Amino acid sequence: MAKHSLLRPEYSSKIIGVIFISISVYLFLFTDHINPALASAFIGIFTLLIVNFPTVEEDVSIASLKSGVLTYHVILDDLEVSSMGIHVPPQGDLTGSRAYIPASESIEIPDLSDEMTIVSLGRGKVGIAVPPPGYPLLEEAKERIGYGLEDKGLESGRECMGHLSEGMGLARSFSFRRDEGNVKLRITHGRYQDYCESLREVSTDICTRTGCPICSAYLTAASESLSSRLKVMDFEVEGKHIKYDLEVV
Amino acid sequence: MLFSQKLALSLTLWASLVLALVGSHSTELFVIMILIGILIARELSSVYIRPSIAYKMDVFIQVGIIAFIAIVMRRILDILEII
Repeated sequence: MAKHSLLRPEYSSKIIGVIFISISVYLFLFTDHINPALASAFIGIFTLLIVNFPTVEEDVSIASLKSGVLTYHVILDDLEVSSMGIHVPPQGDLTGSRAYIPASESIEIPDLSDEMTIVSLGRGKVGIAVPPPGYPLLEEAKERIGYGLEDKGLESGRECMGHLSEGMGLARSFSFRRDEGNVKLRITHGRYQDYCESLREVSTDICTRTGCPICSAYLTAASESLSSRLKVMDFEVEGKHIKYDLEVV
Repeated sequence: MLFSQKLALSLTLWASLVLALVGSHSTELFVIMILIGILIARELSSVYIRPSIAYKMDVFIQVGIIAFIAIVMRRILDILEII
């Protein structure tokens, strides 16, 4: 159901701010309640100035997020590559992260470089290497926290994921930990749950190959912070909870 | 809910709590408590907020610090019995 325009945050926050400022003006001018007047003025000015709003409407931004990943999915599905992707951090000649989808499950992972998209090196090293759909989101988070993630470890990965969750509101919460050499990543969806569900209705291969932009940002952050190639071994959904079991390869 | 909305809501709750505790007794104490609230919120949210919001919060803090200096100066003058 479409929200009434006055209920949108950009308007509602301003209405609330103006109401508080009006109350403070009344209290200052017509009463002796200085502290309540100061409190109202503070809340009003703070609400007016601090509450910002998305410049793109949420429905439009969700549609943009969908369009990119569906294009990937159609191409990868038509190529009939493996359904399990590998998240590769920058290493050697590769300067940016890639999501590598091998041609089949048992195929060897080649040393990737920036120029490789369709990888065909023979001896089983065949697959597709694409920039992760969530890479721009991760770049934005890294810019905000002010440092890169490469080989910085689990804690830096968690800090960056914290920014993806709390700062950018991509998920409600997450858990990122090592488990006997493997990596477990859990994401609890918040406002984007419907978006995620609608993509899974198309195919769960989207989640296991590259991930949607949101999951992909978390997966790439995991791979970059550990500086390890992470292969999706298992993927599960339980309500709002997304469970990725990743193997270091 | 946007993070900035959570921030505004938490500071509103803080202002209400301070108002409930301090009441109409001391405006100075009320202003200082609000400043402490903003400082804590700024520090805890520094990782999560956009630079534009951080800048606006810094303006609030600067205004609060000026108010704090004025309160301290007034107290000093009061103690020295100059005013």
